[in-house]
Amino acid sequence: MEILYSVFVGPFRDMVTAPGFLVEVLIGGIAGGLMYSLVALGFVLIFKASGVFNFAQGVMVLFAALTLVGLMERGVPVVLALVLTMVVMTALAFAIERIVLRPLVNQEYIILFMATIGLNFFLEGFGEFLWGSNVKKLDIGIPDTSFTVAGVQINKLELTAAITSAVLVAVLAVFFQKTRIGRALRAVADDHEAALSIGIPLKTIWVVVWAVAGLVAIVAGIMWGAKSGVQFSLSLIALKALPVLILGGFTSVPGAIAGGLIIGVGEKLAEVYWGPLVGGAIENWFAYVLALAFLLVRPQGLFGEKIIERV
Amino acid sequence: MGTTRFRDRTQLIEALEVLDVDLSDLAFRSKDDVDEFYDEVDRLLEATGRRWYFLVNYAGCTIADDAWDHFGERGKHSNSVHGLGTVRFGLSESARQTIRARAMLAQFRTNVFDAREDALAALAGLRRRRAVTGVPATEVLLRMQDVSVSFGGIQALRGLNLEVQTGEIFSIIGPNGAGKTSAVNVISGFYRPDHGRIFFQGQDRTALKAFEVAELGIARTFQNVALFRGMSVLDNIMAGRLLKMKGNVLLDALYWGPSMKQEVEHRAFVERIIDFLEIQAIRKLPAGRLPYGLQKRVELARALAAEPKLLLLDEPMAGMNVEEKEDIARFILDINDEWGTTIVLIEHDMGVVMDISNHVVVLDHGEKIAEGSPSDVRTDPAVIRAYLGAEP
Repeated sequence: MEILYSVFVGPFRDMVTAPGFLVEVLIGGIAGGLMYSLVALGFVLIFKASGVFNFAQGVMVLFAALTLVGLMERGVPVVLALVLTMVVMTALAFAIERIVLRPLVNQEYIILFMATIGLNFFLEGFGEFLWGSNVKKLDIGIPDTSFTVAGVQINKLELTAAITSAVLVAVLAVFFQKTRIGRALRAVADDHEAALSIGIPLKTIWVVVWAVAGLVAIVAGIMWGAKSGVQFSLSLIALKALPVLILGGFTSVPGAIAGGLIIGVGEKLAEVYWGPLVGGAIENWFAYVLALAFLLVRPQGLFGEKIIERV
Repeated sequence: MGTTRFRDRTQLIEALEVLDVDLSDLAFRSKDDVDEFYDEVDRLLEATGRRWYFLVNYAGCTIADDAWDHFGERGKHSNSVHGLGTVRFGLSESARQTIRARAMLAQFRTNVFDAREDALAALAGLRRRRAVTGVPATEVLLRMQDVSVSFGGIQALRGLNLEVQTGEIFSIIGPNGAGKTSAVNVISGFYRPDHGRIFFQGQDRTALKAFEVAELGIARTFQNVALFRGMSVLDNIMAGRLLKMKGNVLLDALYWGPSMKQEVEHRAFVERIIDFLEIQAIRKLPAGRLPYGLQKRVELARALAAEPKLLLLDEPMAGMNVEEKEDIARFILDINDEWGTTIVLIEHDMGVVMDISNHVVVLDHGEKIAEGSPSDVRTDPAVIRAYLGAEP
């Protein structure tokens, strides 16, 4: 009885009795969730346009952050460093298309997936070779401090990250749904032959999509780097993006956001209200449990395209 | 023999832009006869200072074996200088065969019909298309020259020669495995020929890739429908319009100013196509969920959205019932008529094709076995053999 009470009643009673605290937890969850979405977005972009699950997305985030910090450490002004990082990520997109994707055209997706694993290790090593492997601090001028609105504490850094993510997502959603290139990207994802027949050059599209994914990686790298320092473990946030993708569907930009929010809020609530029951640290695995449960009900994800096979 | 023999054999019909040539019961016994006749014709045409269609009655006309070459040469010359195209009728079976064989070698249109009325009807078609496209029907849009393609040991196309003229409906038919789809894939740049060259509007484009071919104004559909299944019908057709839209990644991303304006303009054009193909009711549905017949229609709409100069249709009627086939046939005719689009049509089934084509090429085992107007091809023994098997 006591267990049932502490699982099903206690936490909800706590939420109601201290609404201010609940709002704080929710805001923390939303902010954290949007950070996950940022990383998940990179995956979705590439998966949408080429059907490839880019295992190296996490390392791309690390690589972008490392490059930015590395340049800043060498005395390059912030704005110039940012521009240079963009150039580097775009150049990376060209190189990936030329060296990895083009020779593997028309291969099975699993082969391309394996190639991105190779890319993952290469980028990791290359990044550390260039910029060293010690933990670096990324200071983007926004202090990791809080301010209070109506009795609710809000972290400035998290707020900035949330707003940045929201804007980026809105732009990408419109870009994909309403514009020429967005439509071309979706077309390529759907059918290569048909895309060629209406005059879409696959190579250009791949470069564009990897470059966009690289730019998203920069944003994610800045936000996560500012929060937890630029170091190897940054690449592991890719693992946190996985449950977000499973929830949101691999092909949906809005899905990546919704998935991120659900995971972010879910794990914060679980950690704060149910965590003490099992001695805490729920946050680390709760996302995966949530994703697993979700898979059982909607294998295509929240917004993913429903798989219907005619027989 | 004097000039009188050929006098009063030709008549200019101004209203139809036609030179009516009556060769009935004439005999061309030698090269001299041929020269005499064509000198007369050329003189007459020269004086008019403009171009004409030639309507030629061959009933009872005989041409000596050694005069044929010369007859063909002079004819070709006259047509290139003064002509807009030639239609023929009243040929004997042997003359028909000869013209057919010569046409295949020299790449000209036989345009042979049984009766004068049929020939006149075809002529009206030629004039109408010229009115829409602005070019005479004799203008070559696409030429395949000695094109061969093979996969491993299989020779899909063997030295194929084709000439598609602007504004016509050009059909390629043949039994299964004849190389029809290979021909379309070569034209659209999906296959690179092992041998031979391809010209589009006089330019060599053999080496171009599929997406570059699309930029030239060649659109296609696929035998097994290739739609963007996850996208709506509207988005599918808008995607077909990509090449017509100008891009600016930055403005696109913001969906701002010119980007938004152009999106609206192109949307209006796409709506016209949707009306034209009568698919208003399904425009918001995901393409992948539509029944097969409608998917084919959406694919046609997507190809049309590019406003192509040449439209390649790979078995657009495959797997359809008679009613659906007639619908598609009507659309093809309308597209050709209203937009002046040149169409290359691949079909397995001869029936509908014969009704709507201006020119038919028959392939078998990767080779051209016959070519000519529908009525011409229908009676060709080689075609009958290919479709029905060899006679015992």
